[in-house]
Amino acid sequence: MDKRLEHALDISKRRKTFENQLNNLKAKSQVHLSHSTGGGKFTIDRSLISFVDYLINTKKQETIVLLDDRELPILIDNPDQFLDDITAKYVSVTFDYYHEYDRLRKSNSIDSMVKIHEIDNDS
Amino acid sequence: MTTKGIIYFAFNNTQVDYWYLASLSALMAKDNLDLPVCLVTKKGTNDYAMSEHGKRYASKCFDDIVVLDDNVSFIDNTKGFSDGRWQSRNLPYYNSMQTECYKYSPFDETILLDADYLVMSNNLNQCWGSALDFTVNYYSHNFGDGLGYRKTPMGHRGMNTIWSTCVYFRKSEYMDKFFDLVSYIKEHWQYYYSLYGVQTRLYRNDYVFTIAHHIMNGFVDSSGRDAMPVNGIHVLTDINDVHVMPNKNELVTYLEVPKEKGNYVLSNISGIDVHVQNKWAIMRISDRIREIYE
Repeated sequence: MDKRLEHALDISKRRKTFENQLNNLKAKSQVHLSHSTGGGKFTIDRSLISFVDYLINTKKQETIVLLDDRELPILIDNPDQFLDDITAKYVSVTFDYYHEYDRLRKSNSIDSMVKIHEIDNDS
Repeated sequence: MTTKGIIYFAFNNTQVDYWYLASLSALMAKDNLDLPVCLVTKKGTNDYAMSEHGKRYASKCFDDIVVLDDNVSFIDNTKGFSDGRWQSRNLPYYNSMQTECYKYSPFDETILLDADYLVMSNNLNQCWGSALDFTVNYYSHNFGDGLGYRKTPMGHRGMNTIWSTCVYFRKSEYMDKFFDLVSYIKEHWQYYYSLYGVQTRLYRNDYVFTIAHHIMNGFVDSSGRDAMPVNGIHVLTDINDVHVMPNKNELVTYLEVPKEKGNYVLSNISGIDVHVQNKWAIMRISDRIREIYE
């Protein structure tokens, strides 16, 4: 096979693996960026965090009602705790995502992308 | 205090040791969710498991084993089982008892799991204390196909299929009636398949749950209001394979490239629960699962 084609196909294979790994990381972070309380389910994102922070700081209410992902009204009886929980989770999940993405981005082989070299070293 | 736990159903066929698959999933569930686990099986399957895997191992995996008589009746079902792209066989599929989960669950709140559902996170713990008595998964995500989360339409009416792979329910009057209806539909499943335009000869709990849910919901789509607080079922279809489990809650898999039959790429999946449809793939890493989780 022509070297130029061989190199291109090599990169193409790596690219496929990269895309798969990135999709897996996205799915993982989506799964973990959620919070359940009071029977409701909330996707944690920047707008939820900002909105809850706004309600706490401007309305000064001891309890608040939020519409969850299913658009059901959920009573949050301790908004400060709720904000702390979702913020902590957001920070932790996005940090993990960042570190794993960074490692993936810097991987120069399929083995290192799927961490298979670590297995071989372990065994 | 309400009791919570996981329930599995396992009935071996001639080639698949469902009891063992359920035990592996249970080990992972116990480790990640810290919950009691109940298994419903039948005498023949359980006797085989005891001789093959031992009582001590069984007690590590299951807190409670409900053993049914061998004459328990199943709907005659045969389906294709694949082990990667090139190996496929038709085998009996004893899945119809799963609809009895309400009757056999010893818990107030229960999550019903398939034996081939590998619990690799604590995400399911978000389900407890739900505002609803019954929550389900409509969305699924197949690793490797690049299509993301999607709903699966059932029959020509296009209703969204509920995945019976992972379902949450609470003991209540509503659920009592729901599972009564499920039993009724199961008895007349061919009629209901025809009514709802389902064109398959395979009996599927997914469809029976979907039809019962549609009827109980006033014949309207619930629009996903009763979705489980997880994003959906993450599926490794049976044309794919598992290479190795390097660490706890991590799998290195072979994913077939879309539209390229038999061409696989490696992929690392970690920290999310995976419905591994290739039963032989799980069996091949069973020693490693036991080493990590037992």
